[in-house]
Amino acid sequence: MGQSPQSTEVIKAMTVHWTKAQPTVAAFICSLVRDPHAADDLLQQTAERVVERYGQYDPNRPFLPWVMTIAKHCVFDQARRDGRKTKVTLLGEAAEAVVDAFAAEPPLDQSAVASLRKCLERLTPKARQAVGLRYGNDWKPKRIAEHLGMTANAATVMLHRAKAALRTCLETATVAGGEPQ
Amino acid sequence: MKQPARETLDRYFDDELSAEELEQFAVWLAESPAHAAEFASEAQFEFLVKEAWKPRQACAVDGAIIAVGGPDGPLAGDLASTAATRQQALAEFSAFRVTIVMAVALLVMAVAGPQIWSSWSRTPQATSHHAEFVSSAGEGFVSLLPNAGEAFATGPDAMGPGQLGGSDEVARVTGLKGVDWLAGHQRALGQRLAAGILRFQRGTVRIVFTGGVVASVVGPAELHLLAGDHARLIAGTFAAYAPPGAEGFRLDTPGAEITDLGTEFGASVDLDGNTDLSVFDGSVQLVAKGDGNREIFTQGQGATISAAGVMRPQFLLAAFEEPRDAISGYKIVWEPFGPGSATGPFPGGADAGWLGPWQIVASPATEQATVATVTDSQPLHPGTERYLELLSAMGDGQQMVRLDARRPYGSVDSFSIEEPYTIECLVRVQSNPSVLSRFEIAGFMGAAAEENQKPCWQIVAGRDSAAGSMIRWQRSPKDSGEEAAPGRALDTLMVGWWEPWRICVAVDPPQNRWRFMLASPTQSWASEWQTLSMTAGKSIGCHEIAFTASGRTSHRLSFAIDEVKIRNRP
Repeated sequence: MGQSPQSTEVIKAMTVHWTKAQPTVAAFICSLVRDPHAADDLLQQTAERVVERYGQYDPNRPFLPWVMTIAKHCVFDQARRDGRKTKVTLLGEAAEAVVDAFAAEPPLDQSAVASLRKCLERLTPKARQAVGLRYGNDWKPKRIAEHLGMTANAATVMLHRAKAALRTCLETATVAGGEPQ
Repeated sequence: MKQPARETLDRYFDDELSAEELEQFAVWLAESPAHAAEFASEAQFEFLVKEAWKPRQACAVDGAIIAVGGPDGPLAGDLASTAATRQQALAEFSAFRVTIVMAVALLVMAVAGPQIWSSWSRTPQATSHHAEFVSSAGEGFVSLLPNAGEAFATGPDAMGPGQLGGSDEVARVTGLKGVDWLAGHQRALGQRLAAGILRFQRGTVRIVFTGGVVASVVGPAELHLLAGDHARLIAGTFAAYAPPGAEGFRLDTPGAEITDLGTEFGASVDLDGNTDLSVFDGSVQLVAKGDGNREIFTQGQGATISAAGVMRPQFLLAAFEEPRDAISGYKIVWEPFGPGSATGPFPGGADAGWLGPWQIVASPATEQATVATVTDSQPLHPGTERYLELLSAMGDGQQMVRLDARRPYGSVDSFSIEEPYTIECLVRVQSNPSVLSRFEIAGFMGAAAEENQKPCWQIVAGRDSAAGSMIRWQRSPKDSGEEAAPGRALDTLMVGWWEPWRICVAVDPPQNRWRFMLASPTQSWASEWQTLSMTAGKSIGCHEIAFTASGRTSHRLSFAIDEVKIRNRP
């Protein structure tokens, strides 16, 4: 049942567990918390609590649901502590449903990032610019549209198409073992 | 509740839902596990794209420099020869970085206690060592005194590319455009340059380093030439292209060290010493001198680096159009012909924008009609092993013989004919030019075979009375003749027998214009922008490129095409 974190074997197991779960936990936090720095802080807090409470983790149960619960409490606690300072977009039942959904998903495969980088290279320069401004600079479509000299609607459509192309590319890459087809 | 369209999910992650819409969205999420699962899947995708866009951390882990990748590390000596291996190693290292840091931190934490967590850094930028910038004087950045450190050699003007590489030579001037030199700093076309300073007030100077990198500098500029693979930009706008084999070129600026890992990149330094970096192709390693951060930047990425050497990655949109144009003719293109490619969709498949195979027609057609084959007898360019050779039937000396090769292309995910694009290729006329009446390369919007359509753009080599029995590329009188290889007549542009020509055509459909660049080993020429001849109101689903040779001859006509590449220019 419970484990002492001082045991070397337990430390190793905890490290492996966290390493696998961390991208999914980060994706979950980012989906609810807009400010990237606040999201980063919350990921740190989650990691701290994992270490503190790992003794309570039952190794016979899956790790991801357990750590997702911790992450959820970190997000909600933070929202309660600093009121509106940390903007959490979903709370209550919706957030609970999202936690369950993340816990049920297979752990996020970090190798997909490498595949996505190759997929990004396949976009047209303008689409890549739009995606870069959206995800690299964290700009909203309206600002992207102004920068690229197009209407907001055109920028939104371009981003939508670019993301669809990336999704398709990533799916084929996953099937082909990481190499976009 | 009705399932929201993909648009709603996109708007949620764009943070653009109103309070009311967000409320409805939350209800929809709580309604069904399937809805929440869709949200989770989308959230994971969003997260991955953000991660993919982050510059890859090359060597810095929380401020500590790992010796793996930097110029001072163990790989420095063989950077050029192992750039690809190194990039792979760095990418793999980067992928594991977070895992390693986390694992070590967790191991330490579990033993030492939670309080240490607060001191564990969040990101390398947040905690890396911000070393105070060493005075530029110590770095040699203040040698702005006229003639300080200059040691330019004056070499013979008439030098072909093969003669690069004298013992003191680090670069050569290969192009000048509208240059106003500062007094005492004049350089001539073709001049060989030893280590020293290049300073001018305005215009564009193109140089080829002995290490193989082609660069151009737009003034006002000051560039210190340090070695055949090393320069320092004090002021101005700089663009460089490193062909295969020339990787490892290093450009220093007041705040950064930029190492080319095989790429095309642009860098500019303003009057305050701030550097802007944009990577157009391939990748570069950037070391910020102040905070010591080292990162790999790839195509489409960039950064600003303050004079104090603090890096801020961002997506830059600086076009660097002028300096890039100056080096475009030197770029080696890709996708050469391969075995069996004469009948297949090669070079480049449908994913590159090619809509079908080459259509090759010779007239008159006889039993010895068109022969199109991929051969490797005399490569058009070092590094390309095969090319498409086209051979017409033999004429009778009276009738006109014509040999035509054309190929359609159109928009795909990675290429769009609605955005500015370039066509790059190598062409060689293999017939004796004296038997040719005309050789032309033309572009069509819509299929050329339809309706005897007129080309939208056209490059023609034709008979010229001044050229005797030869043909030469025709040019508009208004075009500048300054773009030329060193030491050669600027306006010859003769089409020689077996002489390979590199053709680069820039088509800009949004602005309804085009231009081209011709370059042989001894001559080159860039045209001005010209208006595309568009057919009004015509629906254009594809474009087409066509190569045509014709002549009234009793001999065969023959020409060869190699390395045809179409791509959008960022």
